[in-house]
Amino acid sequence: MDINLLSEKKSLLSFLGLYIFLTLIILSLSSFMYYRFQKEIVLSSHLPKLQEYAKDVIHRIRQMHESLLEDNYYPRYSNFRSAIYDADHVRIFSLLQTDRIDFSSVLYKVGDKIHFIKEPELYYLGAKYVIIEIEDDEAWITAVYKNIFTFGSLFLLFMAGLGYFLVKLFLRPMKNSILLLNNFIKDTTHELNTPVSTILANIETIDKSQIPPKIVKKIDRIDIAARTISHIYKDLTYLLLHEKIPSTIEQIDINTLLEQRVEYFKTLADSKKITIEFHKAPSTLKADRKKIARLIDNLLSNAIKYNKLGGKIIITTSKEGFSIQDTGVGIPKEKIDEIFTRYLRLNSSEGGFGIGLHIVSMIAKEFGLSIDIDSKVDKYTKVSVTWPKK
Amino acid sequence: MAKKIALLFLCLTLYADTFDRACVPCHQRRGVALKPIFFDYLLYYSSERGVKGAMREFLLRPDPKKRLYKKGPIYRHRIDPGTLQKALDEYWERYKVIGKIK
Ligand code: HEC
Repeated sequence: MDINLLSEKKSLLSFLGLYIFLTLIILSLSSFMYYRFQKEIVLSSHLPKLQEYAKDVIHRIRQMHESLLEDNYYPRYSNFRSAIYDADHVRIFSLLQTDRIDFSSVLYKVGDKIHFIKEPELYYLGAKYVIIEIEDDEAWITAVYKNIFTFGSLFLLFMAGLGYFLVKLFLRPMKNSILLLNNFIKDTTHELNTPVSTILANIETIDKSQIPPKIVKKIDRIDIAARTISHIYKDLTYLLLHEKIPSTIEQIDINTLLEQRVEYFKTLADSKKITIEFHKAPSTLKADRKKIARLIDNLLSNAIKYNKLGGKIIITTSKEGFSIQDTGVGIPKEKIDEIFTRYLRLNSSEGGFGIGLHIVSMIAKEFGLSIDIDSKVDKYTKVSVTWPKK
Repeated sequence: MAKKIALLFLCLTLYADTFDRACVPCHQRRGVALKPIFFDYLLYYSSERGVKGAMREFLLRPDPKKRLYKKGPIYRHRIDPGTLQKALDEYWERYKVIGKIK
C-alpha cells in the first residue's frame, strides 16, 4: 500500500524506541537491585561467624593491652585475617591482604574479600576498629548472573510479546481507516473506468469531417480531458493494485509501443502545438507491456505538461533503451539529484508530478531499468531509460 | 665510628630529654607509673591525636570528671604548654603501640 504512512510510521518507531529503552532500563535496574540484594544476603550470612571472630580478636588484644604490651604477640588464625586501626584510621597492626578499608560501613566486599568492621567498647591498644577479613568464594555471583540471564531473557521475551500486541493494537485503527480509504478508492476508480471508456469510445466514432471546425475543437478538448482522467485512473489502479497484478513478461517492440502511446497523447500534444520527433532504432525489451506503457505514459505526460507552447518532444530509441526529451522549463542542476533521490523516496502523498515519477521508478525497479535525468533550465529535460544488454 | 655513635646517642638523649626531666622523676617519686596511665589514655582516646589532645587538656585544665588516674588526690600540674607539647611527643613515642606488635 502506498497511502502515506510516514508520520504514523515515525510515531510508531518512536513508540518502539521508548518501549525498548524503558524495557532495558527496567531490566538493568532490577538486575542491579537483585544483585545488590543477593550480595546483602550473602554478606549477612557470614555475619554470625564474623562476629565470633571479632570477639576472639578483641579478647586477645584486651589481654595484650592489660599486659601493657609485655605480651605483644598478635593473634593469627587460619580461617580469617584481622587488623586493628585507631580512631584516625591509622593502622596499628594488620594482617589483611588489602589496604582498602571502608570505615563508613560495617560489612562490605572489596574485590574477592569480605570485610567486617567491629568497634570494641574500649579501645584496647588504641584499636577503635577491628577489621576481620575473609575470602568470598564468589560462587553466588555465578548463580546470580545465571539467574539474571535466564529471568532477563524470559522478561525480554515477555516484553517483546507485549510490545507486539501493543503495536498491533496501536496499528489497528490506522489499518482500518486505510482499508476503508483503499476500498473506497478501488470502488470509485472501478466505477470511473466505464464512463471514461464510454466517452473515449464515442469520441472516436465521431466523423470529424462532417462537423464544423468549431465543434471539432470542443470535441478535442473533451477528448483530452477524458484521456487525462483515463491516465490518472490507470495510475491510481497501478498504485493500488500493482502488487496484485502479476506481470506477464513478453517481448515488447519498444518502437511500436512508443508509437501507440504517442498516438494516444496526440490530441493533448496538438492542443499545445507540440511537435513530436521520433528517431527510431531497433529496440526490444522483455517486460510487462501494460506496465511499460504506464511508464511511457507518465514520461510523455510530463513531457507535454512541462513543455512550452509550440515546443518539441524528441523520442529516441536504441538497442538498450530509449529517451524522451522535451523543450520545457527544465530542472535546475542542483535539483536533479534531489528530484532523483526524492522521487525514489516519493510517495503518493506528494501528488501530481510525484505520483507519475513514483510510478516510473517503481516500474523501472521491477524490471531492472535505470533512469537518468539530464536537464538545462528553460531549455530541456531529457529522461533516458536504459536496460542492460542481454 | 664509636665517636659518631656516641654523638648520635648524645643528640638523641638531649632531644629526648624533656619528658625524662620534666615528668619522670616526680612521677617516680610519687609512685604514679606513667606507662599504665598511657595505656588508659589509649583505651579511651585511641589515636595519637586523641591521646595527646586529651592529656594536654587534662594537664592544663584538670577536670575531675575526666580523670583517668583514680588513685590519690588530683594533682595540678604546672607546666608551660611548650614544654608539655614536647614532653607529650616523647611520652607518645616511648609507649606507643604502633610498631611494637608482633
Ligand atoms: C611534681 C610532680 C609531677 C610532675 C612534675 C608531673 N606529674 Fe603528672 N602527675 C602527678 C601526680 C601526683 C599525678 C596523680 C594525681 C592526678 O592524677 O592528678 C599525676 C598524674 C598524671 C597524669 C594522669 C592524669 C589523669 O588523667 O588522671 C598524667 C597523664 C600525667 N601526670 C602526665 C604528666 C606529664 C606528661 C608530666 C610531664 C610534663 C607530668 N605529669 C609531670 C605528678 C606530677
